[in-house]
Amino acid sequence: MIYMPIIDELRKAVGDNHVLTTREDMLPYMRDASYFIGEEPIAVVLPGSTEELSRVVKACYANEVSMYVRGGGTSLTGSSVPMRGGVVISMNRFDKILETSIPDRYVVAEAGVRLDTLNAYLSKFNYFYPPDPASSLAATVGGSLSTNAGGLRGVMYGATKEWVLGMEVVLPTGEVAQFGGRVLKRSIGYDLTALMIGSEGTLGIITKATLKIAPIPRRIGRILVYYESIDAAGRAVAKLKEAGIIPYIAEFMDRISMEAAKKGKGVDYPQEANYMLIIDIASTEESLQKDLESAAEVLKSTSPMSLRITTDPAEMERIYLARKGLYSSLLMERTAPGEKVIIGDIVVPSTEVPATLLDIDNAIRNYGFKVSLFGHIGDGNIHLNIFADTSKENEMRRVSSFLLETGMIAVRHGGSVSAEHGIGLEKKQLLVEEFKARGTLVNLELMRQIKKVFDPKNLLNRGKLFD
Amino acid sequence: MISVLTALEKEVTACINCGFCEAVCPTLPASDYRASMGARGRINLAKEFLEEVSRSGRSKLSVGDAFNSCLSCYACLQVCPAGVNAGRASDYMKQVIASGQLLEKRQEHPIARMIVELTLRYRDPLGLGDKCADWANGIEFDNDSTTILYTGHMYQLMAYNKKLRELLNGNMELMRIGSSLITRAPALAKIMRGLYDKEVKDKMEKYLRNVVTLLKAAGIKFRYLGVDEPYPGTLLLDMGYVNEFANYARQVTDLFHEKGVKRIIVIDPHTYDILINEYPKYVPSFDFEVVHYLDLLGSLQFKSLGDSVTYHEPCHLKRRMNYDKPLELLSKVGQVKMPRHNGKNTMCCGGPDEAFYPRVSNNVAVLRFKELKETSASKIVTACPICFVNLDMDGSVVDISQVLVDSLMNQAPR
Repeated sequence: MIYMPIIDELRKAVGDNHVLTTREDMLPYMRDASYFIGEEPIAVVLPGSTEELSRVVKACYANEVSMYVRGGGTSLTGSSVPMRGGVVISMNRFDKILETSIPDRYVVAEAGVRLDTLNAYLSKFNYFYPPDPASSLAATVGGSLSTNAGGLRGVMYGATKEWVLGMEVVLPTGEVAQFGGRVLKRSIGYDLTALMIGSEGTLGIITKATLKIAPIPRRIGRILVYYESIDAAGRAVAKLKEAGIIPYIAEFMDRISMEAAKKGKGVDYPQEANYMLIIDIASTEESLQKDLESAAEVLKSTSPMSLRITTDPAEMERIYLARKGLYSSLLMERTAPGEKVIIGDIVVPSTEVPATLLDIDNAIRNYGFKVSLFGHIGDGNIHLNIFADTSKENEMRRVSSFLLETGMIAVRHGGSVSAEHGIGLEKKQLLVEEFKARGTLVNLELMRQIKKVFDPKNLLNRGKLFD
Repeated sequence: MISVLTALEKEVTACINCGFCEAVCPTLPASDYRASMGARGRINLAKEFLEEVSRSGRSKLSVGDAFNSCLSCYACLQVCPAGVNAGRASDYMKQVIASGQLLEKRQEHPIARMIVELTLRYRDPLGLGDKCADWANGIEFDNDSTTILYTGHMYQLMAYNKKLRELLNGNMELMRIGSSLITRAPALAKIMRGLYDKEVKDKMEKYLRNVVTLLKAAGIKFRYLGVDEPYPGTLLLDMGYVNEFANYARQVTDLFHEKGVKRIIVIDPHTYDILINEYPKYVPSFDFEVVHYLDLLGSLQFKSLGDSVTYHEPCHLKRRMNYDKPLELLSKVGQVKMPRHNGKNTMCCGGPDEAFYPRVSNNVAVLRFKELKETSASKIVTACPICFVNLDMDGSVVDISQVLVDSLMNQAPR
């Protein structure tokens, strides 16, 4: 491969100022929010329009230079890190909200728009875009679509894939394609929009997306429920759903995370409690109290230690921020300079949550790691927050083994190794093991074939998802 | 330098690279999203710098622009899950840059040494001398008072900053040449005394006179040091010239003692911050009472002007001082509509970069201005001369002193 001609072509495509080649400029692009460190790219390119991006991709395709796309760089699995000899394409300059139609229930946003920025804009219309990963401050539209991001509101609204009507994509060949559009439904053969979601930048580069939006609920109330035992806590959401109650959010925290939230954000809890649930109920002004009481009655049948209803906005905001900032509170619990918190991201059906939690608990005891469990129990998604020193090879091998074991626990309970963080580099082996365990290795082969159709030269985000 | 490296390491080691800081860092979008010009990128560079120094005693990295362009607005600190302050990391790196040690190439900003030289020699970063006292011509002060009104030259400097910015237009080479000449022959700084934007000068001088009007109306007795008033040395510290700042701050403190000063009334956020938070650290004999002028207006009856305003909270007032008096007073005067980024999440105006990286500074200002205009308030109110000059894009920006004077006289805002 000859590098210099490609750099000249990239400069012609986007202008000198938007091609970065010094070590200092490229260094920040070698990492994302995971513990993976990538390799120095040939260049970093910052296109500002679909036309520029198309020219960049065409140049890379013609010169067989691999490309690594990056939005907010918030991937927890190493999805955005570049491998040697590639070009990083940053989508940050695609930062505009282009079009909104409230009656048609959509907003068109460029790939680099941050999710919180999008929702701050939509709040003016009393609408919102429901997917809310904890990284929404920094995560971008393109990145969140690429990983089918979830979040706290997933229990009521589902993950990202439920909220995407269409997108514009630059294919690995440089050709520009339009998938889906502005209508709330269509049935026109294979759903290419859906195919892109969760593809982690391996099939094409999203430049903008048409996103479905929903009215902001009129009122929300909260029930805080405290438990002694893990399986009692695990039964709660299934019970609610059996009673026809779908929570707005349903979050779960263990004692380590409760203690971290207390220290970090001042949110207290009953000292005897080992687990807590945060159950939000969305309703109208007139019905909120009644709906909260109905939900509380159901929850009482799961034998909590105690239960408390609150509708005080200030208290609810404090608790919400404590939950959303739980990862940060846990970080403050680190005891050694090199210690990081690595996140496992399993998911099981709601009815399997109690048994899964018991098995996870056993695994934690066997491995002896300090692990905090919290997560979106509403849709069966548990995050295992593992305290480990990423600079120690032995320790990281044990972490990998632990992630594999807990991933397989999830699969045995009818779930998956990755709920919402995606596969990236971290979970490639887990993906294979999940398909093996389910007897569906054909899925992997189908994915490989699809990848070949979109990207015959295997240039886009090479090395991610699967080999 | 060891203590700076230790402090820097402590700051950057905690970073988990989540990107939250980058999402709120104003210089990132202002530099077309070049990551090294954003908070997370700066932390990455600081980490690499430390690794290189620990390996070979020096670093080959060219990091001058990355760190010199940091606004030190501390927006990053508000959102960092690990409590990392990329702004403080930048402050430490600026000290490394200013010292000339540990980096293979000198990476100070072209005008840095000139500012240091002129501040130390003339007690003003542009050598403006007695020009900074022009605004007070004809005003009678209480010359027996042990309280001084201390402008810190901040309002006065803005007119000259603006003109220089227009003339230099971000041309680093021109800055280097001019700065080098003046550093060698400081008397040449006299040229700058004639280079100012008249409209800005008139406005800034009016705002200073407003402050006097308000204080006198509140019955406060004070004097003004006039041509003897020194600049507090803010830029020395901001640019990382810590030793020079420490010496200079001692001289300023000694001057205040010689003049019999007991209480200092400040007007602008940078001076307020540096006198409260920094001077006592560097000068043990700094024992003056420091008060913001807005805190002395309690006896005044402000009338509603029946208008809507939006308030741009200055970084140094809100984030560093947690000072809300301007908002409290504005609420008496009109309907206050706050922009999206407010409180501790206020957004910088780009001001600290105006002389050093004018394009970045202007881009930040445009972003913030758009946000303020989105409130649809009639006026944008600032409580900082730097914020004022950076945001004054369509005549709708006004200093808080003007709003308060108008309210006192019960007039529509000018």
